[in-house]
Amino acid sequence: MFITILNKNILVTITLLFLTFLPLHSGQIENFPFPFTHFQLKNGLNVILAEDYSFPVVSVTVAYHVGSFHEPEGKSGLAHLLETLMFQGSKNVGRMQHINFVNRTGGRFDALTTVDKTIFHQTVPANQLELVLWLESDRMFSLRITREKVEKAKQSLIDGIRFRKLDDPYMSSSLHFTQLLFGDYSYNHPVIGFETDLRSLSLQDVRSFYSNYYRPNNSVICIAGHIDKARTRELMEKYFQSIPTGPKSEETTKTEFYDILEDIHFSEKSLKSSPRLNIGYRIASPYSDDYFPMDICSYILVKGKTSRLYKRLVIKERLATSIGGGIEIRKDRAVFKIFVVLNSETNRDRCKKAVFSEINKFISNLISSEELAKAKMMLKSNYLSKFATVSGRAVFLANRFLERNHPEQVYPELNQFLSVTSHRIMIIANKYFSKHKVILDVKIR
Amino acid sequence: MKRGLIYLLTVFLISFSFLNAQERFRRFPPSPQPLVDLNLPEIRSHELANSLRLSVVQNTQSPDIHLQLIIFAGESHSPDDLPGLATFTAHMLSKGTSIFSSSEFEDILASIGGRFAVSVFPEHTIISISFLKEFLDEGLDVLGKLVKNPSFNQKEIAKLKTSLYHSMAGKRFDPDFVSRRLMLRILFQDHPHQKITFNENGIKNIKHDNIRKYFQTFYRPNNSHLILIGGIDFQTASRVVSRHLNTWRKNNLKYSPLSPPKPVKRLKICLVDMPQIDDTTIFIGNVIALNTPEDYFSYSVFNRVIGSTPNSRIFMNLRETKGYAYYAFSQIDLFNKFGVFFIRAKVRSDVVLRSIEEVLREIDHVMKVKIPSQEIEQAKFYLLGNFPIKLAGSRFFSTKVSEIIAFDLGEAHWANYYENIMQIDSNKVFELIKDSSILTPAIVIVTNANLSAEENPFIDELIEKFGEVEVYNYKGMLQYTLK
Repeated sequence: MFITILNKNILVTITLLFLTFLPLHSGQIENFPFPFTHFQLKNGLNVILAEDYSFPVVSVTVAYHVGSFHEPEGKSGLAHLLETLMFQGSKNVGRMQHINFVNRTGGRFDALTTVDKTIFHQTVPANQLELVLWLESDRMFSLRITREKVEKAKQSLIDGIRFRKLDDPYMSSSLHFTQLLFGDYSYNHPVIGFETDLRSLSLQDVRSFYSNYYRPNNSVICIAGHIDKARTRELMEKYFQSIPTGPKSEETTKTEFYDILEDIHFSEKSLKSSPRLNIGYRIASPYSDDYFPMDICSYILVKGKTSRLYKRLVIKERLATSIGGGIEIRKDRAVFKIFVVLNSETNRDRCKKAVFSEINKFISNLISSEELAKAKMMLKSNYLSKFATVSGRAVFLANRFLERNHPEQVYPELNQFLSVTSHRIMIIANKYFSKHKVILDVKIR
Repeated sequence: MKRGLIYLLTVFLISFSFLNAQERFRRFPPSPQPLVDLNLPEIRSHELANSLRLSVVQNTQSPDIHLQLIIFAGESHSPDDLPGLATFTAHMLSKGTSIFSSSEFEDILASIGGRFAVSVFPEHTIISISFLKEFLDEGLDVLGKLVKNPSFNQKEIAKLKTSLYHSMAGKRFDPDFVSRRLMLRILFQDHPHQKITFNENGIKNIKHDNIRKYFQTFYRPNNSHLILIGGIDFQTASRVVSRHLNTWRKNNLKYSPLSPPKPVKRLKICLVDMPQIDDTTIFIGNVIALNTPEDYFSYSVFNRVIGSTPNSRIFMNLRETKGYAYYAFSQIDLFNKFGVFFIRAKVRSDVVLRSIEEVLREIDHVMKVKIPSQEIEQAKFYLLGNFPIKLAGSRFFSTKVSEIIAFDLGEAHWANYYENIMQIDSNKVFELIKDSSILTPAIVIVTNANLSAEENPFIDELIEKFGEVEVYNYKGMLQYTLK
């Protein structure tokens, strides 16, 4: 026994000594910024717990691995419709009661559907955790979907589409841009759906979608905040373990993200907007080796007032009023977008030339170490702010679990960004900024 | 065979009772556990030799440091002929110093993972800089240079004039912005606070000397309070702040705080015609006196009952029961020793008058009939739960600390929040509300009023009900009165 303890101590000492002499790069992190644990219930439901006792609050995120990607052609809007119906009552919780229960505690809730995820999120006082688990388990177990509810929800979503058309002056051009950039239907159709598709959805479509995808083995629940881990695990087992497993969701076979080169003019009918230039590049898939340098590129080229395009087009040459963009991920595909809002239609060609001259400069010259360090610090600040609150932590963990399949994958993530070098950026930028490009000239009618 | 049947029956009974047990706990919501204590970090304070006050709130979980410099001067201290000067001066801080240019400032900020923002209120201004916690020294170095060496470069002044002008003019089609500004303009009439409602015209006349004079008068350590929130301890914070700000020179500035504006005593209808919009935005508000912490907490409970959430009376009435409104909420904006209580609603344009009548009826009712104790307890239950949830969001945490310091609110609004809420009852709320002026508010309506039409039943109805309607432009300037 004594020998075993002694051996253990020696081992720990040697390990510590070894770690002490390991070279540490500036900004490198050794551990993920906050601890969390992961386990799976017998029915395949994944659970992640992250304790934090700063405030007596708890955040619960339930994320289903389903979104617009899983909608068959002609049935767009189905995932978004289900998100709405999840608030319309289950076996033991009446219509809209989920919202009322959370509101009465002083809590907050939110829901979101993306291409491949549907997320339900609530933050409540710590003593109300069980209430949220009761509510969430009831709608996972026994959502009540009736013809009347479906028709009402469809109408509300159709109204939403019309309202958005009025509110977003660039809606048509953005849709067209996304369709061109992402290629296949599964990736490129809008999450809010098309009005004609929504109208044709039947009660059976909705019920099958729910029973196929809203299952414990197709979801993850993340709980962050003022929790007792053992007690929380007991509660998870109590409310969720007996929910039956569903069919294993079938992933559509991955198709090739084929080469593309488009330069098109698009007319947007709008009174409120200015002419715009949309430029997009197909890039490496999310979290692959090439992806990390591309995210750093977004800070150098388009994000913030220190970005190269902002400095040249807005400050120096005054050709544009704003610059936006960055990486957009849709499931296993990623694109790099650049949006330029022009000062006037007459500057369009000058502006376009200026954008491409900056991109050419970027891919032909090594960026300075100061510029790289600056981009990394901006990225680090944005990255850490995603989980600065318990609410952010629950959402972050749920997203990453579904995106990266295993929660431990996030451990080295920040380091993967911070260890990118200027040379690597140059190689990667050359690889992706010289082809697979879509240019959409948005003119205003 | 017999044994097999008994076995099957036993299995069936066990399964049945198991399922039944499951159903029982699923049938009703679980009871909450006891409320967990709220242990907020201490706000520790200290004064530097140059009279700059410093407060530190340590939050080890935070990846960054949030710095807020409160200057105890705001739009009310702008000269009468230059409303907007306080806002303009605050924005000029990020436009360069004698050491670095505006563009270099942006680069420095980016290199520490930083963000810069300014907020201007009637009696104070907040300069905020947040940055990664490993850059404490660099962050305070930047702040020191901004307040000690601003350049107020002419080119930057011209650029800021253009961008602020366009940003304000761009809000002319924003019904919420236009309504709120006009409501405050009416409520702060004949009071220095009215300058907070300045429009884009005010910006044009601001000159370099005006900015420099305002800055030299008010941006002084003896008129300021620095707050640091984040992963930093009090001793380190005091040392680093002293290193970068102890040479910031104080002056002999002395002025008394302004007395709060008086509530409007006669209901007023103010209309803005916005032909581009389909729905109607309504703001209904008045000044409320907040003389003691108890006033504030009573109004908070009242606000929850009447309209701050979708379960409150006005939302339930206007949206859920009548179907008039897309939303209808009440809110209290906090100022120094007073507040503005208001209701904001977006309603269908064919039911504007009916919506206003319903809101006034709800207010009239609470002024005459005590709110039942059960409803008061539900409101308190909500506030007790909601306070830590809001604090857990990093932005509200900083806002709350700066509010406590700017308005000298004390521990009642921080560590003793729970106790203060618990003390409120139906009688306290009733006594406060019945003597208030919330039933004679300023009512702002932003709608497509079709004013050029020869026959206008909407305007006729308003005049018949309220006697007169004042018509304003989007900038908040009175055009004419309809009687």
